[in-house]
Amino acid sequence: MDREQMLEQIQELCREVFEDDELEITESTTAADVENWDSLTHLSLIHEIETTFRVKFTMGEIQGVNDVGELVDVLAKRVNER
Amino acid sequence: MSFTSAVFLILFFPVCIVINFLLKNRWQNLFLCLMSMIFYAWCGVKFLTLITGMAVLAYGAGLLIEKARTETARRGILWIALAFNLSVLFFYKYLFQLFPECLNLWARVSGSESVQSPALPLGLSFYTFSILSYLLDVYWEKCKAQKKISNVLLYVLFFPKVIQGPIMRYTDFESQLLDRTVDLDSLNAGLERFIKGMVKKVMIADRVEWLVLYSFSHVERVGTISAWIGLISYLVQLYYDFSGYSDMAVGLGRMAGFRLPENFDHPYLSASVGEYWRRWHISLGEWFRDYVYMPVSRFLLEKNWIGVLKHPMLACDLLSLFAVWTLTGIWHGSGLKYFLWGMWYFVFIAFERIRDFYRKQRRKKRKEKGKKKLSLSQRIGDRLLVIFAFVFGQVIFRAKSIGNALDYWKKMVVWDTTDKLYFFHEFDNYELFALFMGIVFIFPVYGWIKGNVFERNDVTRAAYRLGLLAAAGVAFCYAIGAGYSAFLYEVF
Repeated sequence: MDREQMLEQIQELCREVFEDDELEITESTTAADVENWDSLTHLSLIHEIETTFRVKFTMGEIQGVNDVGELVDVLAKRVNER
Repeated sequence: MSFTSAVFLILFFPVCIVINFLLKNRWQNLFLCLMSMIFYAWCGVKFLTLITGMAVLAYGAGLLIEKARTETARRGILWIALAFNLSVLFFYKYLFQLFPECLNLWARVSGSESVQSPALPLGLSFYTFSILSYLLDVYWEKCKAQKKISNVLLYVLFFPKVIQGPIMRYTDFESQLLDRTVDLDSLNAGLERFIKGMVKKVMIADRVEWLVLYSFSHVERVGTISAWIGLISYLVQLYYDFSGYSDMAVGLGRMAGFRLPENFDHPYLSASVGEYWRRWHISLGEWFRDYVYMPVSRFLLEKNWIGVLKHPMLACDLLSLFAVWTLTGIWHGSGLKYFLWGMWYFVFIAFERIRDFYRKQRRKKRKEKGKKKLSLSQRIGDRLLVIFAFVFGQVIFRAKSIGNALDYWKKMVVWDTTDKLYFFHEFDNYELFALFMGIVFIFPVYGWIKGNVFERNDVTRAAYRLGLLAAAGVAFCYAIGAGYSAFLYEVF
């Protein structure tokens, strides 16, 4: 799976978690750009990504990502490790 | 050594800042570490031994966590290290208060003739949380374990933050250990901030103290008006004392080249209780968010049973908040009073979360998009709730006991003229003036005046500098004249 496909799937999960069907996500999107993106929905999104891609993030990775691009980075790293 | 003591202001502070400024970068960390140890030793060599021991053990545990080959070993070392640090905190802060019968045993073990609990090491709750932050950041691989023991000692003992915070996450501190500059701009900005904090502490917080003591020390003899004046004075005192300390800490950090986290952001402007706690003692709130709320929420989200609930996210949020507020209450003290104080705020924040959840559901049903402005009545209602929660909640915080708080509440809500207006004779004009200024400057007036009046041209800027120097001089005289004046959060 390439980076673009990952981003597409993350966008779908974001729309579901943040309850916004028209949400557009790019690599530079941050939590501040999305209305419902707080600590709890962030964890919910991580949980959905972990279930979908069958990976497991560390708490350091969860708290360390500053934008969607960095989220794709750690996801790609975990997928490659599988 | 207090920030407002003569020895700090005349000797320690200037010597430390000037030598640090003159030193080359690679020697600064070592020098600041040494100065921090001297600063802390002022309150007792015994306590310096304890804090140094805890920091050294954290240093060792960090290296072991990093070197461990299996997850079981990593986790085992982390748990042992966490348990050790929490045990020390429990021993000094809670054991003898919760189980007074242990006092006799302690007197026998320590060989002491008097049966009394050991003195609480200064800043224990604050620096224990710093150590926990280091251990968890290393365990979660947010950073590498620190190889230099002096850097771990500096992180734990750094004198601007060791006694009362701000509680700094290790990752934020680590990034500044090797990459920071001390120049004239940082000295200038730091000094201005330090003076601002000192003025807050000695010219407002300390001046209104008598107004607070008058009402809270003799609840039975005060009437409704003086009960309210006492409470408002306490809200002013608490804010100026703690935010004054935080300003001084941030200013000192800046002069030493470090950027410490902010602790306050005009909390009295908050539109909700939750927002209030994101603006008051911010570093503690963020610590609980990162190290309690998020791990507990993650744990719950992975459990199948939470998914079968009607509103799993809301349930997860409330359970995590319950954990946070139980610990926040207990962190402040051992008595039932602090636990109930934590629960008081939990109830209001939980109510707000449920209210906001249903507001959002209603908007979803109506298919409304974007952020909707609340109606005037909703906004007024929300603000009144914050005022109610805060005004009555802080009575619990200040009162000696729950019974004392209930008596105080009664004085506030049931009209009582026990002391008529005699209490005004107890106060001098300066105390009332300090209270008035305290109320005015609790709002963002200072920033507005500085930006719109003093930043206009070179003359106004020079006038501001002169005013600042004069304020520093007056605050210095007050501080020296008053002798030792404890900060309110020192006891935590």
